[in-house]
Amino acid sequence: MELFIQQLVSGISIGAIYSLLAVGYALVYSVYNFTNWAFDGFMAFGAFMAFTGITSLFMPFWLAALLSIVLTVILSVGTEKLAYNPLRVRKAPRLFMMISAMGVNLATVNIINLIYGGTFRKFPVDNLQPIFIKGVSIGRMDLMAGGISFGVLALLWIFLYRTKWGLGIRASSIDILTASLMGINNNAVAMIVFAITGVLSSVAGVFYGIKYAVFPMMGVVTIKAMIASIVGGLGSLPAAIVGSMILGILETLVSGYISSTYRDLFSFLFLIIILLFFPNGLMGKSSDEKL
Amino acid sequence: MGYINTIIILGGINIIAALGVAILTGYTGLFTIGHAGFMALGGYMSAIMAKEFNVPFPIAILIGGTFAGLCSFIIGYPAFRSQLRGDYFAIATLGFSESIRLLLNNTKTIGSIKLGGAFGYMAIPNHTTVLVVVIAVILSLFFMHMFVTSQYGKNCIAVSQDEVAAQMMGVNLLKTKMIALFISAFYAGVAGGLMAFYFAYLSPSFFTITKSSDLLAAVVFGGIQSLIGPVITAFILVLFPELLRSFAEWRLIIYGFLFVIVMIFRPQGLLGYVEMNFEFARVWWNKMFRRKQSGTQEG
Amino acid sequence: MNKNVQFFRKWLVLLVIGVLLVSSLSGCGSKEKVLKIGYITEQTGVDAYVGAASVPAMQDYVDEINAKGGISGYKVELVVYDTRSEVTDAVAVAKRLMDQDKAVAIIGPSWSSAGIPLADIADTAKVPMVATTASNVNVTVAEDGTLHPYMFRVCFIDPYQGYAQADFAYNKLGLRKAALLTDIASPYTVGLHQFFEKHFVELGGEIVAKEGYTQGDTEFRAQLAKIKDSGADLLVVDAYTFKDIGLAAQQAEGLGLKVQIMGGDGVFVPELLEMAGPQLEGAIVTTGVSDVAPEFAKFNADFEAKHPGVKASIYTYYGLDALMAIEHAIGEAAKKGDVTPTAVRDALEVMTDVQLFTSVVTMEPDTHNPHNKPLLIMTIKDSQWELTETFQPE
Repeated sequence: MELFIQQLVSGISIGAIYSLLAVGYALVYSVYNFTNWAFDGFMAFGAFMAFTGITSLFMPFWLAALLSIVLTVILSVGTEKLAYNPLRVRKAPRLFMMISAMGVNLATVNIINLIYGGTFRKFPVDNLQPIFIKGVSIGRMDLMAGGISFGVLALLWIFLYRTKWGLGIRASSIDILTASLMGINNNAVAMIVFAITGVLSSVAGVFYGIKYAVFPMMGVVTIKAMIASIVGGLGSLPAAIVGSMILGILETLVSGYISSTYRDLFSFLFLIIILLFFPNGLMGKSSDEKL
Repeated sequence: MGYINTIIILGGINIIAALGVAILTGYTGLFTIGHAGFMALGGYMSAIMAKEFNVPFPIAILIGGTFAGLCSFIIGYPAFRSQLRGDYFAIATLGFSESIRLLLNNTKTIGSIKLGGAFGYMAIPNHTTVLVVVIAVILSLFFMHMFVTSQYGKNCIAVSQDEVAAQMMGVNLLKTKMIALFISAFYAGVAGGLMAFYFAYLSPSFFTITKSSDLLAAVVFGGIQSLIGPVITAFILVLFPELLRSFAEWRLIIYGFLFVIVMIFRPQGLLGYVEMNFEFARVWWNKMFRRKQSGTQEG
Repeated sequence: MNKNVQFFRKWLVLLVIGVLLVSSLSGCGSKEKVLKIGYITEQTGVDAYVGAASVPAMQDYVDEINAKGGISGYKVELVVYDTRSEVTDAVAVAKRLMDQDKAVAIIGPSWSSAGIPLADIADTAKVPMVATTASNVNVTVAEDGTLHPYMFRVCFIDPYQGYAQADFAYNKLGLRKAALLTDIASPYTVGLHQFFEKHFVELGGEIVAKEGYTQGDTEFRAQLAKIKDSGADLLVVDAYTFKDIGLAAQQAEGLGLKVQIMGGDGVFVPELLEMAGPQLEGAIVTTGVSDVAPEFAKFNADFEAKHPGVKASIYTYYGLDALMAIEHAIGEAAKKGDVTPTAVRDALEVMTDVQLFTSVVTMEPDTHNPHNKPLLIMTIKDSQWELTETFQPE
């Protein structure tokens, strides 16, 4: 029983990390109907900026984190201006946006690799020790990850549903053309969406860096977040979190009780099964073409 | 000559696999980042056929390709039936190819066949030569050209342009996509088979996501709805890093920027919408032989 | 249409220029007595640190040789090519080194999946290759037991290290219940664990848990919780990258799992101590080279002073080992007045008691593995490596 609870706790904590990333995907998807494949590069960028802030510029942690957030937001908004916006203006197919995003990702990750080298580094901040409750260890970092993802989600919710800008974003996500005809500044909406994405990826990167390690390929984990946001239903923020939790728990239970070797195979089969029975994910909006 | 041959062989294998991606991504508009998985299936299957059952190697390669094609239904049927598109399908292909790699890594033996798991499948007979690759590339191009100019090919283009409109015009979406995926996987499988017979060794580590994204890059740069474009870029993508090996560290960075630049300034790719045609060959043929023929008639 | 044809022509012209460029590249070179030594390594991709740690040191050493007037009058040039950890790239660069650069010998590759197909290629082209850290048995000896005449290596092989680890754990540490955490995509890890398990069970030990993960994973808590539950007293993580054992140790501590941790030479890098020094306190790591040995201290200090930001690691040492083995072989070949790849191969095969960078090495002519390379058992004490024992096979 203790083992089961421990696995469940680990699963939830892994899910918390995934959800931090999945929210970033879901936000962009909900407005622009495309997966921001550059997210994993942004995440590594954010982590390395904070890392550099502390090790080379001798900043305190909070200042380095702030620097990382500012720079990642600049990168994210810059990417939108240079790589996505020209395509969107032209109404290019979604395929083109995805390829452009993959390009940004490839370039970002490899520039980081060129500058810092491919090795793994420990983030120069101590990983907090877990708390033990009746022999079950609960990571403080995981509690923080959960807290941050829910906090970010709450802020996003307030922003999207309680502010004028939010209304604009929501309107754009339903019909971007009509929204712009109604006087919503599409470019401003895009800036805000990608600024938020930048903040999320930087926070996720710093967090992941502290919990595990900082390395150029750290963004590979975002594939899991992508799967999670598809399982939940692309384009819905709460669905991204639900999908992440399910995937995190599923992974640990499969590792714990079936086979750790075949864990990823089960995650994939799960994805296929979900898609078979819930083509739009568990809670996603319909992806049917609008006639 | 060994080095030049290597480039021709690796380039040729890349061309065949890229043709497979071209039919799916370029013509049918389905985004794939998992074709390395089909290459693995085809490669292992043809190697097993040739090594364990002494099947002649051209047949072994065809069996490998067919096997990869049949396996593609595992993701194709559920994905297309539920109308998966874009990102969903891309992730499904990625998941599929990673699962294949996971399975191969864990399969040390099948019955008496020693696949070797992560150690790799060793002592595969060595058959792939420049001649074989050149013939294979020509045949692949020829059949692919036949396909894309046929009604099925036109259906694929219709699906990529507008699914709803295509369906209204009587195109069977599921069937069209399944055929495109089958052919696509078949080509990847054949490329995998040629690879097996060239290296005389296969390891699951050959078939990573890097391989898949290289193939995708060939099609993106080469152009959509074009065969000759991806063929040229697939070869250049093998040649280019060889020329610029001293810029090793910059390679992937350049790829990345090129992705963005191509999408913004020439989104149809370098030779997008350029159908390969044999017009020049016909003209040349006429010049060379017809004139003589007509000459003899006159004389 | 016309426009398209024009475009097509433009590309044809570019292609022709490209081909010309290739042929012109192959045309130039070799005017004086310069011998090219190839080095196949990783400078981009996930394993970029292998090239980063080795290339500067090897280039320095080559410069040193040339400053001294070369090897028996022959100047040496190190030609480095990146593989980004892709086997296809490794094959292409190997052919390039053999064919275009006319390399007299090649160093690399560093991993077995590339080493196995490259061995065939080396045999066909008759150019000797010295693998650095490709430790799978089948790199130098094919599956059917025939020797690859042109493939050598300077590291010890997986069965040997796995055997030694099991022996030390059972006999010296008195441990009986082992758990294995295996990177199932790495032939290195799978191989070591296979031979560890074999010998550990032979001795009378028990493998109580066999858990797996895949390259790039950072999360091991599910596996570790199971291992904790299995009551193991030894956790073997012979990872290919140090990140795996470092993170496993951190997460094991987080779960309150207290066991003896053991790793192989793949994780014997200084970065490991920075990453998880305190968590790995008391852990055992087996290796063929030790950078804490006093004879390396000066080298390490000089190297780090010359190349800030780069740390010497086993990839540096094994790279230098391979380079020195080739230097020795070229010298021997030159004595006979015949510096061809075949002559260098012959000299490598009969190499006896030659001082390389890490140790005195004798090549086994029938396996092309270094003979009785000592295995060092290192313990992590106060976040520093400490040499516990030298394991010398019979």
